[in-house]
Amino acid sequence: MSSLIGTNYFEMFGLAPKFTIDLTSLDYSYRRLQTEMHPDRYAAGTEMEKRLALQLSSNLNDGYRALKHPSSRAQYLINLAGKKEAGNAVSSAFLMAQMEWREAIEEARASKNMQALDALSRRLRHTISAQEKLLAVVLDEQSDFDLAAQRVNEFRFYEKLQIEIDTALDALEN
Amino acid sequence: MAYSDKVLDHYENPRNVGSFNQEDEDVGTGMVGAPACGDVMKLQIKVGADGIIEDAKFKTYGCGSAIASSSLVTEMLKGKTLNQALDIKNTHIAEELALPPVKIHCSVLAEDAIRAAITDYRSKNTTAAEGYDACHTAA
Repeated sequence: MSSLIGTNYFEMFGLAPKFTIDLTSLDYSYRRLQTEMHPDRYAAGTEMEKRLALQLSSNLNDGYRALKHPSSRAQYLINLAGKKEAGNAVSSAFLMAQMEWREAIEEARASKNMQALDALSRRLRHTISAQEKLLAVVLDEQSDFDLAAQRVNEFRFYEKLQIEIDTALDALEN
Repeated sequence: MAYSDKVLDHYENPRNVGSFNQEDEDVGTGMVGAPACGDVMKLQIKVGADGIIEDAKFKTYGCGSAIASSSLVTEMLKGKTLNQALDIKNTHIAEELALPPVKIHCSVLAEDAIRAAITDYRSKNTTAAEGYDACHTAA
């Protein structure tokens, strides 16, 4: 198990360091390694082995979380490339559009308009999938990590919108 | 995590929620956002001919601390000159609202919004500030 120490998250799961990854492989590797590293398996081991298993198992969870979601996977690649985060940099026009999304969600929620929320949810899914494709081009083809850092910032706003819409839909359904 | 009474007060009774017409010459609009939490904040100032902020409005989508920070800021801004407004620091906001360390970034966002609104107002009104007289060139 010590072979996993000091490797990056992509190496840990046997994946190429790319934004575009096979999520099924990630899930499969995660489950396999999780079983292998589980601290319970080292219950009879030495203190050193127990500590190591605990550490690795926690690395494994961190790594899985980092690679599972597009924004954190992109951020991880940007960090690997040694780039700093883009701070809060997003354009005013982008923020204005975010404001409009929020207003539309708020309005649909207040008027309990399930159809409007569904429509917003569909529109957002299209947007997110288009943004993911853009991130893939910027990271995997152009290796432009500065631009990627900005796009990740934008992506996080879309993820937040997704949560807002899902929460509103849940509230209406119950 | 418990919110302070002041945060709750601004959160439950936010002051000056709304919008001015962004196109108006005497209005400055600041749009800021925090990618980490997805908060979006719009702060607008309406500046009188004497250069004093006569009114301020905000619209914020975010946590209670972000809403309280922007609400408080609209109250602080009224009656100030632009330079006095630039002296408002996030520490003042955080202190006034007794924000816990994990919520300090909300007050930073509100400070950024003040700067953005003033920058926007100044970029619209540079010629006026320099004493530019439109009548002369028109003649």
